[in-house]
Amino acid sequence: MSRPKAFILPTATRIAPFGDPVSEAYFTDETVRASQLRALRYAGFEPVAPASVAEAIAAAQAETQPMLFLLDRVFLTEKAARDFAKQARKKKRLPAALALPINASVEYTLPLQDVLVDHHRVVHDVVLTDAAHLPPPDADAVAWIRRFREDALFVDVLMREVVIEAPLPVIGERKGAVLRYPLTSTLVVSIEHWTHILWLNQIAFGVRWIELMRRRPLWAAWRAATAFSLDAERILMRLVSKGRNVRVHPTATLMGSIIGDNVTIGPHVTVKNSIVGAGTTLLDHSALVNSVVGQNNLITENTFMVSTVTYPDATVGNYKLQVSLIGRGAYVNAWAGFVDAKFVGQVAVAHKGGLASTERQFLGSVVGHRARVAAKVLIHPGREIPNDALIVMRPDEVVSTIPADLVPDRPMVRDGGTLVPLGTEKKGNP
Amino acid sequence: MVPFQQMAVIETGACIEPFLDPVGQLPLLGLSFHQLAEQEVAASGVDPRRIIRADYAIATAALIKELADRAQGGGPWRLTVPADSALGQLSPGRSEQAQAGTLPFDVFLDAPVGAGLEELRQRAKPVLVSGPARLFRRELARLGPPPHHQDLPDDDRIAAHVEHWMHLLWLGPLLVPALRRRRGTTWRRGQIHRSWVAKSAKIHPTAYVEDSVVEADVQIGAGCSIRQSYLGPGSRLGDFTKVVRSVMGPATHTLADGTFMYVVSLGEGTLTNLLMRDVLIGRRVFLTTGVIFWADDLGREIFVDQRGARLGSGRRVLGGAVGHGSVLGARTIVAPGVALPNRTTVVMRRDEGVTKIENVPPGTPLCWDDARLVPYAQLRADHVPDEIASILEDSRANR
Repeated sequence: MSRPKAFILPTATRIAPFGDPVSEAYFTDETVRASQLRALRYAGFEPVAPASVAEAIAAAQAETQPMLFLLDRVFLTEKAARDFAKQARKKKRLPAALALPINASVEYTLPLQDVLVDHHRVVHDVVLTDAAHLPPPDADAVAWIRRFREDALFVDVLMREVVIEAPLPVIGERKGAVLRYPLTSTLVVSIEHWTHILWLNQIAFGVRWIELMRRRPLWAAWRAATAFSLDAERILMRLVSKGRNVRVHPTATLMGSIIGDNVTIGPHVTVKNSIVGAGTTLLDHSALVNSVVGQNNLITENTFMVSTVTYPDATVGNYKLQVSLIGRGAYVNAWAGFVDAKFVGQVAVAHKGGLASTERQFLGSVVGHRARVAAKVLIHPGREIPNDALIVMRPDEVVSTIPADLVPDRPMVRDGGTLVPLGTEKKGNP
Repeated sequence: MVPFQQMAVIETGACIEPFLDPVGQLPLLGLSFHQLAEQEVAASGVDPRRIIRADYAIATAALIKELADRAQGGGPWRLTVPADSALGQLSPGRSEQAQAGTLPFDVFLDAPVGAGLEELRQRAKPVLVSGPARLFRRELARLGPPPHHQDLPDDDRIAAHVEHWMHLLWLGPLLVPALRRRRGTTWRRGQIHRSWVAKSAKIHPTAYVEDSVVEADVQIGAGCSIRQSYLGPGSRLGDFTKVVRSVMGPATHTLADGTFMYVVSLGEGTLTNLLMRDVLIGRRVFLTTGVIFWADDLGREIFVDQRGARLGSGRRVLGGAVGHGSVLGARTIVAPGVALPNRTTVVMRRDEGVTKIENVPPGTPLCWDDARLVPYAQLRADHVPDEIASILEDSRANR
């Protein structure tokens, strides 16, 4: 008997500033589409990607088994897909829509998602149905799939999560907030904004680790047991999954991380709760904390990255790059400053032609594909640096020519790209 | 010890800008360049009287020995390496480039005393010796066309001409393996690996030293990391200083948490910096934390000045040079490849430092303007970004 079909319906969703179709959005070491296909196959479906709703309906009408419809922008994990299919079949009522109770992992990525919030749950554009319940065609896949909602049964996917609470910095006299970081392998996210790629990858660590332990339980148990300690930090130092041909300097510290093939980790590097893509090089004294680094990245000396995500082929050298998303082949140098906190209120981002709140006080920015941020500049939180942007120093800020008549020991200052005697600089010209 | 001054040196009068010192007098690895070259000849076991070299040329003991071993019959002979050797990376800026697949050096064997440099170049028969056998791969930013790495020599088989400040910068760290090999490995408690450490050096137990030479009376603070580097006599490294593939000349003092990679300091300076890469620092230089030597040009080759002309360095990563006795204050930002003359003093612009703070109600957002902190609303009344709007509203309400 053939597998039931899962129709991935195309939307026009493109993620700014990258301009990529949503299916090419990045999730740990693969695209969202690759993750989707893997999850659907794991759940027992045969994924199909029709060019339009009409094509999907035509194909679906020939199906005898219940089938799945979802939008191309819906990311779901293997466990979420499988548990939904299992629970929806048990209910024996079609159509059935995927719902998740609002908990820490749902809340983490919820802002800016166009999903139905129904009391204490979120209903996603994922529907199990049969040929008898198909709505009439609609050119808009989003509108079409939402017609199911009118008489669909909302099936809550059971999920387990561990929530790690971390205090957020206190700004001024306000009460300190707490970041609730979820560890779960049941995730469904409608990816509609760059922040979703960032947030999804930030919590990807839990997904990937749980998947890994499910596939290699004996390995995980052996590694944890041979820590010979009940101390969580010591156990985490043992729980490091390394690919082939990984070179790690003896002074490097790795904790609870997933390291891809052919990665080079230099002296005094720290990698904690992070995922490092294949072929990446981490140079001396760099540190990754809760970050996802794509394939073939170069992380230069002294770089410190926290909760940051990079696409493949990026070069990052920065003292403190936090809560930011770096595009494919992008370059961020040591001196660029990404402001990642707002003193008052929440960080707003560009979305659907206006500004929308991310409901976060802490958020960096996104750097487009192949963009190069090569200047000592400060970027406000939540900003989008376009693809191929090139940000360089103002020429008058950098000393590039030396005056021929420079007098030894006479105090000079920067002015107009050269050095002039102190007191003769032009006002307002840095 | 074999006495120096037995090897003939052809004085060309070469001076290295921006220092203006005769090349033979430039300090490197605790000696003058001239003494260093003599030391290598002495260590080779070859009779120093058989060697003649130009004042800007140097070859390590391993290459000199191989030159003598391979030269059969009457001289004069000239040291050459294959042009595709890693030593070729030191050749941009040389007055004589590779020819016929070989890279020649002005180091001669069995040459007549009194012969001029041009005459020797014409007469001497090339002896091809092998270049460095072990290479170190330096990863570069994924910018510009590949390759995004550079394979640098990583053993004791080095020869170079020092005709430009960038040669001194490149040569210094490359000579450390030869020196370390000659000195041997010292056993010391702590995290010290494959290094020679003088008895009088004081190293904090939390410091890490690897493949380095640490001279007498050096003090290394807590949490420091020294790799593939040379620390000259009397140097003091503040806590958490990181030194990688660098040469710190005698009595160099680094303040806490400085990072120096591929840096050569000629000594006696006080240095601190968040990240300094590929910079040559003269004697008695004072450098503050905020100084930036821009070291890359977005994947393009960096150009330097050579006697008034622009010269391609062949490198995508190159900082600059700082003349002797210079004092560089906060926010000095220097373009790649720029050399600051001796005794350059750069201070902060008067309008950049805050010298006056307006008397305003508490909570009023202030920003920097022309040496003052002024209320934001006063500065840019017509433009209020979203980030500041709510703060301004709160401030007005409180008032």
